[in-house]
Amino acid sequence: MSENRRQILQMLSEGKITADEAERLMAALEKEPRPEPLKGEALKPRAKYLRVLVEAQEHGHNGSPTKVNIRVPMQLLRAGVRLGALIPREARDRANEALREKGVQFDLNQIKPENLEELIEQLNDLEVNVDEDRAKVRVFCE
Amino acid sequence: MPPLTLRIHVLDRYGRELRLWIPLFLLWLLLLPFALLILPVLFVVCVVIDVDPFRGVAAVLGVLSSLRDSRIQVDAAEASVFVHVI
Repeated sequence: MSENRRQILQMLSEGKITADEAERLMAALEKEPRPEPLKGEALKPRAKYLRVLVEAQEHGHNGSPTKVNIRVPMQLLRAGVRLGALIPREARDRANEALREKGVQFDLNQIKPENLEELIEQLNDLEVNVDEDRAKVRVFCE
Repeated sequence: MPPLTLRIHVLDRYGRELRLWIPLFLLWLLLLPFALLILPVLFVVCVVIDVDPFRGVAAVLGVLSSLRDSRIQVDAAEASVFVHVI
């Protein structure tokens, strides 16, 4: 939410402006052109793939470590979340309960297709590096 | 569009190589009559479990279509396997 919108809502909640005035101000805000990105603030390209790289330190007969390289299109993640939204509510509630029992405070009902883009956008900056004796795991988006 | 070809490349430790191009579009054509037969059953199941059948079918087709350009490569001591969905 932009700072301007926040201020309008704040003024509305404090009773400084009426709901009609707030609506007009919001409409005026929407008409305003969006600010151009600053110079040097190049837009980050959207990630197209989720990559998972695993390098296990188990050496085989030829002495080379086992490597796994997976490239998953981000589109598949989007489709997966859309499919997940179709899970019946009863099943989701049971899954939520199981998650809570495991100590994971997460509500699957909160994942909705409308929040999907935001969720995927946040994955762009995801990077997981696990460096252990037995294996190295790297998860990132590109 | 669902994936049309599956490319599999296997190379074992003796240097034997296997390259496969599996035409998935033929598989879809073969499955199409079965899909049409199953569709009414699927519709009833969706209604029973309270899921919009049209959204369900669209979501499954969406997952199938999104599989394109997925790649899995495993290099192990015994063999190397490369799978590419095209």
